[in-house]
Amino acid sequence: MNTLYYAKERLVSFLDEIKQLELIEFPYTDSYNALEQINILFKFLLNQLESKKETGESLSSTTLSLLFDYLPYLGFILRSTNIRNAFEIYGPIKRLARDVLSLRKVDEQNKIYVLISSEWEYSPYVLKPDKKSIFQDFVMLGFPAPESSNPFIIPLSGHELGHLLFSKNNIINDYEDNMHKDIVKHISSNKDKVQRIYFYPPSKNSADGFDLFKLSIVNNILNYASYQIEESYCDFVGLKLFGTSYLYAFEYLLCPQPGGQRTGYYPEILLRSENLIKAAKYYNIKYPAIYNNNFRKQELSKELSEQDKFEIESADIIVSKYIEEAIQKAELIITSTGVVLSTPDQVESIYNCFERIVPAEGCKCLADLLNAGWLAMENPDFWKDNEHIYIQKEKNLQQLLLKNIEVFEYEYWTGKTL
Amino acid sequence: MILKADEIANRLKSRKLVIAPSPCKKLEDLCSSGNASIDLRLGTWFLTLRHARLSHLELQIRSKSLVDVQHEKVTRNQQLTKLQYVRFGDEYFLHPGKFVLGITLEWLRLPANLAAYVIGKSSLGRKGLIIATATGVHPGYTGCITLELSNVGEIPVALTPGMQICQIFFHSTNESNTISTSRYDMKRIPVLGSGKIDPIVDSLSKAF
Repeated sequence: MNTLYYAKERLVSFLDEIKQLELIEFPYTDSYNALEQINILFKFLLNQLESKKETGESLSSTTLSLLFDYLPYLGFILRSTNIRNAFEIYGPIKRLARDVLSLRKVDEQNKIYVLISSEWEYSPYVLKPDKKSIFQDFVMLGFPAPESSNPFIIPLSGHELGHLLFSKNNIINDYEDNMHKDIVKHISSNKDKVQRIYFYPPSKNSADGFDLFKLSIVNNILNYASYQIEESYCDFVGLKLFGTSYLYAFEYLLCPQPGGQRTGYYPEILLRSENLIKAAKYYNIKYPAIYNNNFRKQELSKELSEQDKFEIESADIIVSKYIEEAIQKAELIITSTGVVLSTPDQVESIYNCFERIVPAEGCKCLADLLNAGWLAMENPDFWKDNEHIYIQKEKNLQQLLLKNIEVFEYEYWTGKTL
Repeated sequence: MILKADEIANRLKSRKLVIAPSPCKKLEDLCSSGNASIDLRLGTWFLTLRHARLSHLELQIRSKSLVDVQHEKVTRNQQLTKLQYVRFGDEYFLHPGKFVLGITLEWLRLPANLAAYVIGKSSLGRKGLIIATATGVHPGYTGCITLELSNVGEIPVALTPGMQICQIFFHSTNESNTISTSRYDMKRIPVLGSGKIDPIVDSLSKAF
């Protein structure tokens, strides 16, 4: 047997799997549409392979590489149909995604597809399609499976939408040049340390005696800094979109940090929480008085080399200079999208309904509901007078909140709200 | 006394009785209807039994012997039932002879001096759809109401979330400080329920 045969057989099995998946129940058609996109692509590839008479090794390997790329999507699509998910959030999140990504124009309204899935990862995330992906118009959000029916973590989807905004608007371009310059300066001002930890002798050929080897260090630091500024920016987008509830959801899912050690691709967690409070003050968003108490400073792993430590610490220093700018940028972009933002009056009115154990009507935005929900959750005396409901307060609040999100959706389609 | 629509509207207005989403766009419309009930809509969640995993359903739970404990394990809700979500705009087809638990779209909160009965709508009953049966809603109830839907007709019927599925009659009761606390309070999804232990049946089961 040749490799062409193997590739074809594997492709046929892949397409058979898609056929099986087509039989499941799709609560929302966007998941089915995603599956069909994959189906079309791989049927095309199979046709191409079948038209090859000889080994076609290059095409086979390209095809298989695509198969490896898209296989995880099948799992993602399958899990998006799982009954554990809070399907009520789908409509409001889809509209939010459409608004945040500025697809409000009529001709673009239907262009966005949203999948909300449950993941076997303990961190919400968004699948970011690369430029060649067939999923350019898809927003694919994943929540941790055990939490996927929990509406209280929805605010974290704001962070994930931030990633799409960041890449759609090439926001990294706003930072890269300046950060690059800062890093070069930083390295130069730490020349002795750099030479010591990288075991590098001063060059006699370059003007500053400190040449090409610097390039790889700069790139490494820039890489960490780029990730960190993106994560920070996304935090601010999430905060701006969801208000105080973002702070609570963030704390809920990230405290305490297992192990306490950090990666250089995220800002250090305590600093991250402090930056969130800084942003909350700037956005005039209410924040808990003792918010940072539950966050512990993460140390870098002792197993990291001196060089890695230097690069991450340098990225931290560089990124800290751009936090305020990122806070402002996130506000500007969200304001420009025209997304309806949470207001204290609305939150209070919904909170009052929750106190009476009923959903609120005429809500203006999802964020108001989540803010009211978190406010109730954080009040230890909430529902204390109703013992049989208080005894399972968290679970009951989840039920009420999800029902209220459905009422919000119902009112949207029946013309009772915005 | 059964409340007429205008009195229901009054209680809704004063927020002593809450139905959300509101059963009508304007409460005035409700007042002018002259009815003695209001229609409720179908929600998005459905629960069916997994027949192949089920020898039978125990209707009366007895106090726990070892056998019962094992039985309880086997008959856990999630193992016996299949939950389905049908979005607004989609349909659920209920075939002749089939039974499904649905739920009202509306979340209700009854005050301490109001009880209610949920019954079917004749327009749907004529087509074979029966909305049964355990229709009493006690004072103080909070949550959506589970509907026992069965098709006794001869052709399948399409159930559409958001459609008017049943009607609710409200009865005033004597004032009381105690309100009922139901196991089914605070539900947005239909549940099969686990039943309660009845000491009488328990005693009888030890006879002979």
